[in-house]
Parts: sequence; C-alpha cells; structure tokens
Amino acid sequence: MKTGNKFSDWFTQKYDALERQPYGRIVVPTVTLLAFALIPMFVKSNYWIRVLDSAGIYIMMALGLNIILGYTGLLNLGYAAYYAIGAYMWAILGSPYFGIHWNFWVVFFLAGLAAGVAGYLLAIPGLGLKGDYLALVTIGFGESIRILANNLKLTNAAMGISQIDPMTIGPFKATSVQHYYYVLLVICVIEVILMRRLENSRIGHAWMAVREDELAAESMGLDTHNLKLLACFIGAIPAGMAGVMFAAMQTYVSPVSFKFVESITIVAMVIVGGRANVYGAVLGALLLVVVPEPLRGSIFDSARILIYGLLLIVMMLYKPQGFWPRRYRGKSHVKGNNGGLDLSGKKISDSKTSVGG
Amino acid sequence: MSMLLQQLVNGFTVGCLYALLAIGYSMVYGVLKMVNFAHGELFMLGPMFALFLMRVLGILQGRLNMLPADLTGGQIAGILLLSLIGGAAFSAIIGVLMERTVYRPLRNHNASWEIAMIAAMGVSLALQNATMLIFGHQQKGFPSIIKTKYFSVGGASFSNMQLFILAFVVFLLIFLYYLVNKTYMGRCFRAVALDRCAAGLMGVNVNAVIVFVFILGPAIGAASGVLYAMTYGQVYYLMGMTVGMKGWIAAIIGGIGSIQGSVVGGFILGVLEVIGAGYLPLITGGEMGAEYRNIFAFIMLIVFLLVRPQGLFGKRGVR
Repeated sequence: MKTGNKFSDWFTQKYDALERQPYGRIVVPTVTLLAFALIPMFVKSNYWIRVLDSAGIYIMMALGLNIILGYTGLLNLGYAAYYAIGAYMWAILGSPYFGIHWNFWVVFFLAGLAAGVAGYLLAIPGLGLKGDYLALVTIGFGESIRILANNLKLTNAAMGISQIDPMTIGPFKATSVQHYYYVLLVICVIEVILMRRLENSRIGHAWMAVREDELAAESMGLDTHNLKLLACFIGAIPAGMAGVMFAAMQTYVSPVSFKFVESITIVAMVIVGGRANVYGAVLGALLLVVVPEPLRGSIFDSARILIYGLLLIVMMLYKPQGFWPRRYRGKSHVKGNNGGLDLSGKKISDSKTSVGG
Repeated sequence: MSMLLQQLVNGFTVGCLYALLAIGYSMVYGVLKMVNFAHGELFMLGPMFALFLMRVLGILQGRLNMLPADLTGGQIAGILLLSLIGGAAFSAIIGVLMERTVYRPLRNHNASWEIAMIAAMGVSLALQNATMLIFGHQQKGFPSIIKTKYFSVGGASFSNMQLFILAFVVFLLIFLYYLVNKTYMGRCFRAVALDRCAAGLMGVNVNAVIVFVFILGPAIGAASGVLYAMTYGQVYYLMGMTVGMKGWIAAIIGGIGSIQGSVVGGFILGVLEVIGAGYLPLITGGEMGAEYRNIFAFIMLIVFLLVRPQGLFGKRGVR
C-alpha cells in the first residue's frame, strides 16, 4: 500500500520482499527475538529495564486494543478500565490487604476473563445505533471504574493497595526487573503469534470486512453485530492480564494509574504504530514508552499530553493509517476508510464546495 | 418533600447548563454527522478566558479571585456581560480555528468518522494540556459575580443566581429558535443538517454554515461554562472533560442532532442526576455519597441506550 511517505514505502517494500523469502519468515523474527532477549545482557541499568518492562505491559494492551480499534474499527476510549480491573483483581486476591493469596496464574487468566466480560457487556449498549456511542460509553465506563476505585472500601479508596505479591511460577518468585522482563517477553511473543494467527483467520478477515464496509459485509452473510461484540470481548482480555502483571511488578496500585490519559496513550500507540498491524502496535507501544523517557522531569514531561494530542491530529491529517500499516495483498482497496463506494466524494469536493465525507 | 423540591430546583439549574452544552454537540452533529469531541474544552475555555480577562483588567483582588465588595449594580452587570461575551467570543474563535485547521482538511480528505473522532480527541487533549501549561494545574476560584441572595418558596430556597441562569437560558433558547427558524442562515443550517450534499448542490454555502455552527455552538457552550463556573465558584482545566461528557450524554438522551431534544435531555439529566446524588446517601445510609454523581450520569446513559437508543426526539433507524 502506497502511503505517500518515501521512507515508509521503501521500508514496507523491503520488508515485504524479505518476508516473501522462505528464510525471511524465520530469520527476521528470530533475530528480533534474540536482540530483545539479549538486551538485559548489555543494558545494566535497572531503570531502563524497568522502562522496557512497562513497554512490555503496554505492548500487551496495544495488541489487544488493536483488535478493537485496528481490525474492527471501533473506538474504545476506556481501555484503561480493563487494565484497572486486572490490576485490582490481583491486588485484592494476592495481597495482605484481605489476607488472600491466590495463585498468580489463576488470577492472570481470571482477570483476562473478567476484562473480556466487561468489554462484552459494555459493547451491548455501546453498539446500539452509531459507532460513536461506543466511544462515549467506554469513556464513561473508564471514569466510573476510576471513581469507584477512588471511593470504595474494597479498593482501599484513594490510598490504593500496597505490598502486593510478586509473580510466581511454581516455586520460583520473580524479584528483579530482569525476571519480569523475560516473562513479559515470553507473554508478548505468545500474544504476537496468537494475534498473527487471529488476523489471518476467518474471524480476522471478517473483522476487517466489517470495518471497511459494514453493509457489504452484512450482505456477504457476516453477522456484523456479533463480530463486533466478539472483538470487544477478545480485545479486552489482554488488558486484564496486563493489569495483573502491572500490579505484581509495581507491588502497589492506586486509582491514579488508571486515568483517562492512560486510555488515550494506548489509543495513540495503536494509531501511531499502524492500525491493524500487529508489529505496528508493538512499534507504537515501544516508541511512546521509550522516547518520552529521557524527557522525564523536563518541560516536555508536563507537555506530554499536548504532544500526544498534536501527534494524533497530525497523524489523522497526513497518515491516518499509521507509520506501519497493514499491507493488503493484491490491489489496495483502501482509500480513506470508506471502502470503494464513495459516490459523494472527490468530484464535488474538488470544486471547492466540499460536500461528502 | 421540601428536599425533593430543593433537588428539583438545583437539578433544573444544572440541567439548564447541560442543555446549553448539548445544543452545541447537537448542532455540530447535525451538520457534520460527527461528535465534536473537543466541545467540552470550549466549555472550559470560556470561564478560563473570562477569569483571565478580569485579572488583566484588574477587577479581581486577592488570591481567591474575589470581586471588590463595593460594586454598584451597573458595574456588576458590566462585569457579567464582559465575562459572558468575552468567554463566548474566545471560545468561538478557537472553535472556528479548530474547524479550519482540523475538521475542514479532514472533510476534504473524505475521512471516515473514526478518523475525525480521533483527530477531535487530539484537539481536545491539546487544548486541555495547553490550558494547563498556561493557566496552571490547580483549581482556580471564580467569582460568583452576582451578589447571591436566597429566598425561599414552599420550603425550597432559590438563589438569584439560579433565577438569572434560568432567565438567561430562556432568553438564549428564544434567540436560538428565532435564529434557526426565521433567518436565512438558520434555513441553510436546517438544509445542511437534512442533507449536506443536496444542500450544497442547491447553492447553499456549506462551509459558511459549518463555520456558523462552529461560532454558535462554542459561544453557547462557553456562556454555559461561565455560568457553571459562577455557580460552583471555580474553574479547572479538566472541567471540560467531565462536564462536557454530560453535555454529550444529554444530547444522546434527547436524540443527538435535534435541538429541542438536547434541551429536554439536558433538563432530564440534570434533574435525575441531582436527585440521584441527593438521595444516594439517604438510601445507603451515608455509605455512598455525592462523589458517585458522575457514575449516575453514566448509568443513565447506559439505560437510555438500552431502552431508547435513538433518544427521545430521534427517529428510529436514522444513522
């Protein structure tokens, strides 16, 4: 797909050619994986490993949101709420606050399920009539979860819950940031593989068909409503799991970590990286976590949201598909996002009356 | 009983302000078929700028931004007018800038609604953060310009502020009714709302109508913001987010795109929300208090979306 950007075109072309080679499919992922696995050998500072850990958590979430926003084209602006659900589940079920200490991995999958169910239930009213209703419903849900966490006794109100148990694998207890790094790396790799499988499956293609042209998809016999509900369900699962990882890593959760800004950051990751592309989402998450890090404490830190906002505007104006969008085999049929049927478009808007859209 | 009456009065006042906000959402939705995500920020910028104006003119004194006690009635009216018009004008300018720099190029690219929505979200974040950088991140006192007097009718106490808000809103609604139904621009607006493409082909200057909407909507929103800040005595850079969301919810309850629907939706949301927040501590024995007010608005949204997704005044099946 031509994006108009020279570097981007060159890169996707080269990458395409590489991936078409039989060795490319094996060599490129292996080299990348090795590079990531070797990072803790060379980066000795715990600080930067911690940054990469949080990048890993964001990658988990960006991949999840990519299903909702990237493949299916639904705007979910309360994604941090699912993250909060996961984090608080581990905080409650694995800390001295109630004296409950469950197995980490049981809660890990339970939290994923809980987040998925929340996503599914929210989508029922949200998908009612118009696409933009889901955006409002999810914002409202995100705010509500935060307010609840801020006031309920269950979550220890604004004080948050501390001394949360670390992650355990059998008898092994994760104590250092390096341990979390490797566990997160494994989880992210598994998630990337699953997402790749998903996007090339029948459901993945159906999601993209719904995004491109809902009417056409429906007339092809797809149950678009159920597909969207499914996207909201599956897309929320990684967020719950990421929340559990977050709580275990930080050993402390409080409502401050789940503000609206958090949801926006995850949306920005998917948008900047490239919608509907697994690697794009990974890239976006890495970029938006690692790049602002050296600026911490400077004037840019307080202006971070301003920069995100401007970034979103500029991206939408000039590169709405992101830096590393999904490539479509065969002839590109993507133009804007209206599918092929755009009768009200070009001709009239060229003559300066600007209708359509 | 007197408590219910009191809640009704308070709810009605807040409802007036939500209604004004909802009108802005509805008008933009009417012509662009897109929710202006940044409308809440325009609501917040109104009182922010009004406060700035009052500071610059040296009207305020003290750290809490108090008005001098010895103002005459004429001076008070002048300050009131200044802050309302100043705030509205500033928001209208920002609104038009927003339209010209972001929404119009997107329209020319034929962008889909979710792209427009994400861009609008970007505008909202940028405005919010810029306001924080310029005016600071703490909540600021806003003078309740009118000298507040209370008088009670049937057990409920009214303030003259509430009466003023009510009168102002009624005046604005009449003005708006005239503008939309009796003037040329209003007729163009209705035509564009009905069918943008056809209206353009009939010779209506679509872009002019959109600019008109982006002047009127933000101006009304900002005026509502100034009244809100006067009522609650403070402005805050995040205020546009929470209150703006309620305006949006009100617009959906009334049926987005319909102006009279927005007004009714605003009143319903305001009254139900205040009553809910008022009775929640009584029902739960003080366990849950007014801090759950925002959740109440959200629950109402969910209920309305499940029961009547097209809104009270919306037509079924209209996308």
